[in-house]
Amino acid sequence: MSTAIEIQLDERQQAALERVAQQRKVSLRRVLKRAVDEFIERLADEELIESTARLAQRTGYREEDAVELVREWRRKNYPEKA
Amino acid sequence: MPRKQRVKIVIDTNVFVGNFLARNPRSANRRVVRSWFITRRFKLVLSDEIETEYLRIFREVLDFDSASISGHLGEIFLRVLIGSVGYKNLRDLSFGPLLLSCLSELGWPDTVELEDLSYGPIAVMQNWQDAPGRYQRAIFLSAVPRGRQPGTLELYQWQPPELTTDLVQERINEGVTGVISLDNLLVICQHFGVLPPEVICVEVEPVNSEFGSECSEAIVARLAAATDLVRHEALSEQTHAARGGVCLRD
Repeated sequence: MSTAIEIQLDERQQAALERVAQQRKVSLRRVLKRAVDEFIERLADEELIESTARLAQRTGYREEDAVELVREWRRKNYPEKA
Repeated sequence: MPRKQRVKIVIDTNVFVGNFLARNPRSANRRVVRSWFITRRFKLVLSDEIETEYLRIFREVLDFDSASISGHLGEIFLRVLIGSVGYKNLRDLSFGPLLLSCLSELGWPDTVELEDLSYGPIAVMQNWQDAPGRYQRAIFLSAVPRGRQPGTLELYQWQPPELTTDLVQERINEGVTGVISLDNLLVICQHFGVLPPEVICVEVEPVNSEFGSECSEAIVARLAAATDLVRHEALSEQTHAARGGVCLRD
């Protein structure tokens, strides 16, 4: 199922889209659909990073602890490199 | 105009750890990781050794369990190969490399690699033996005569068949004598256990397999749809099976 949504683009947006469509030799509609897909992907990526951060923050560590945490882990696991 | 090359960077593990622990949205660690993962301003250089350290520290220091590792970090570090298999200048049998060339014009995250694999199944298999587990998903692009309606575009998840010694031997014989065939690559790589866990095939049924540099019109008309299909498969965070394992034939 597809839905038609009408939006008004300003001149700058329209010119930029037309330039991309010409460069890629695809229709304006296709460029717009791809832009929407990429925006949705970006939101999903941001949510993925945020949800991973929430998991990490359950440990109670703070950002300032990061360097020492990694250094300590390396000391334990690769004493020859530390 | 030549494509702008992104700067290649190595991100130390403590930057990732700091990013995940940061609560301040203006944290430098957050900005570095977002510049790579969200806005794609950098290309991440990721060796197996570095990736192993990332994953071990996330598990052992940040207490991520296996489900979190595969569910969250698996998606962040999911590496996908888009590989073409096909002859040069054999009209529709050149579909795979032609589609790969169209795909290479698009922007891709660092975790997606594109490669023409037409140089021989034994060499491909040996390369993958040198980097076990490098890819979690492979998407193969090829034209394969399978008795479908000529011009058919098909996407399906490859199901490994039962292999016999004779079949493997036959595929190896063809491979070493220069036959370029997706089935040879799949069977040989399956036999040697180097295929990624998820294998997707995007194929067309050739219309014209004679000598010549251009594909037939019916195949050229499939390029845009095939490009969208491959992009969708490559960037999907879920496996093909988790999305219902739909096989498309058009």
